[in-house]
Amino acid sequence: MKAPNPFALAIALALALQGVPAAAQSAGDGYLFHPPVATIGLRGGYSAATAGSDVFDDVTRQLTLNKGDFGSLTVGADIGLRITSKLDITVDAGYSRSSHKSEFRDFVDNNDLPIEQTTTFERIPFTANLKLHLAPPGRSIGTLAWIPSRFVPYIGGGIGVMRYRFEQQGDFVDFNTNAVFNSSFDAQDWAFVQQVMAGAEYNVSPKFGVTFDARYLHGRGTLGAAFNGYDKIDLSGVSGSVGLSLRL
Amino acid sequence: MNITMKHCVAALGILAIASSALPAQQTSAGAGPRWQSWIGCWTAAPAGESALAPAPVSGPVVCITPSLGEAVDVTTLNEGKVVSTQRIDASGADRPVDAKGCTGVQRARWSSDERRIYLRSESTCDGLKSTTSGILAMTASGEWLDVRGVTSYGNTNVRVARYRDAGIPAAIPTEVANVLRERSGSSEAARLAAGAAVGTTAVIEASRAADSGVVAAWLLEREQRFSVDAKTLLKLADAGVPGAVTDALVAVSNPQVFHFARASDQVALADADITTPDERPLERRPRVSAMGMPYDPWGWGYSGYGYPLGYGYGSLGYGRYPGYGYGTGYGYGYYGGYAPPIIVVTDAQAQSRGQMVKGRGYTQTQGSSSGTANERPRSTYNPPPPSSPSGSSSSSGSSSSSSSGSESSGSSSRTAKPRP
Repeated sequence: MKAPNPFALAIALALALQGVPAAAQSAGDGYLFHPPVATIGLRGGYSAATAGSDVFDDVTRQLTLNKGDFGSLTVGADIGLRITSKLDITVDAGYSRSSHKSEFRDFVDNNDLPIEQTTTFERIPFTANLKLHLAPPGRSIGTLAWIPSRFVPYIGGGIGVMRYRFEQQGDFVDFNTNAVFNSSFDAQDWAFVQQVMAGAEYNVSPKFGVTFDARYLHGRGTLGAAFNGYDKIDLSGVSGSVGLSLRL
Repeated sequence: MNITMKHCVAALGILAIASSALPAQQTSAGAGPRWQSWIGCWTAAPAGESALAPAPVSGPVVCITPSLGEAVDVTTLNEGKVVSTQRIDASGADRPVDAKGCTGVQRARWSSDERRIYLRSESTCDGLKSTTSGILAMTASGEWLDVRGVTSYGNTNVRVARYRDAGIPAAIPTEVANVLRERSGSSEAARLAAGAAVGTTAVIEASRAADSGVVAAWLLEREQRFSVDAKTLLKLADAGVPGAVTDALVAVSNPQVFHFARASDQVALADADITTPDERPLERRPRVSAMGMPYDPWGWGYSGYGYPLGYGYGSLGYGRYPGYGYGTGYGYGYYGGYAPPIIVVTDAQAQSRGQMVKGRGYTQTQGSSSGTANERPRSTYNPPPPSSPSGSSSSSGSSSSSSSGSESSGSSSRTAKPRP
């Protein structure tokens, strides 16, 4: 089944929610009754993995994979709390998972059949970020009206941890004996990560905005005993997403 | 000290008059058609009472009669006796205030649409400065709204009086009645015209002519729904309309979300279960002025929001300080105690919180409002105990009680009674 286009989903959701009548009466005609204290964001997009460590080099050399295969669709959510009129602190979670079937480039089995396996690369970052709006997100009129700006670019950055998993499951060649064996190689752990981000929010109503976000996340994690002798796995990647933000 | 206070009271906006002449001595040719809406006798309408409610058959009335030029005389009568007379000259000219040791200027002028009168005065009494701002306007139902704000040394208090046509009471002097009969023909139509809906242009003008608290109170009391969108708000803000005024606009224009509670409403509810004044938090006790003015019987002194009144502005029991100008009003009928910020509570915020207390049963621990309730400094004055509602005091009470009056929602008049 073809994955839904996250951009189209976000636009459709925003347009649909436009019609929601004043969502619980917390907004007037083009304004909120108070400056937002928090935002909730959902986003979807694509996350490309840098795949810059030696384990990826070996895998892509031996198997019918390339580094682009470790990228995947990504979804994320964040909750932002307003610190100042231009600065938010956000708690962010994401999820991306690539899973590709492959076979040995250079080997087949004794029946001339490909030696197949599946490689899964899963990343779940949890980060705390500071998000600086480069333009006023809105304007307070008195204390009972807050009018959002139409277009608000932002930059930000943060730190956190990532739960990751690099797993290969299927048939493999024992290069000592050339035997084909079925096995699973699994590395999963937590790693410390940092990220920077930039984007913009296009406000379609007092409560809802469409966000366009790009971010680079950097991190490296241990591979464990299943991948003996390798450097830390490169968890880094660039992602771009479109999302919907809801002001509270 | 007492003399000083009286001087200050006298100066809070003094309106014209050295003359205390009765309307009977004036011609009926003065006061152009713009005053037609106001000409007549009026009786105070309690806040929240239907405009269709019958006027009381007795009690004080305020009669407005034509005077010379653009002026009218505002005469407060009780049981047929003149209590006070003020003259309002809406020519826009500055008129000096010079009474009882107070100096200053006062002026009144019409709005550009000639449906409201803006009052303004500045006075100094023995070095104490104060300013008064006011709006006289009609409601859509033909009631007369009289909104006054007094600011002294940064403290502002706004009061509102709402008056209803009292006809021509039998008890008023014949001369007054005769003058009124001559002018009574088109009053109703004029009042409806004056009370017709106002637009943002009028709001902008009013904001420039009167203090923000006064304009906000006027809007809240009019209860006119405006079509307020983001563009309108930006236009108002860019025109310099203060936030208190736009808050009032937003509040009255979104009645499904906001309602406002007058200070008196809040105090009444908050005090309903308290039997002695000592039990009340300081901010809910009867107001005692900083300079020893006596207990104010008119309610608006219960400002209770951390904005004590200007000096000497405390006791306006009618007849007490008659005829000292815009600041003092007509001596009765005022309610409110509006004080910035205007109390606006949302339905959601108005949801009361409570708890069940052993030995006391259920109790409301928190309503809510966006108003602030700052405790005033403790006064050594012990007000007399009010008429006590049923129930008994369970403690000696502390002024630092956590049950703040301003947190009462003031949104409901429901009460409980024993099952028959």
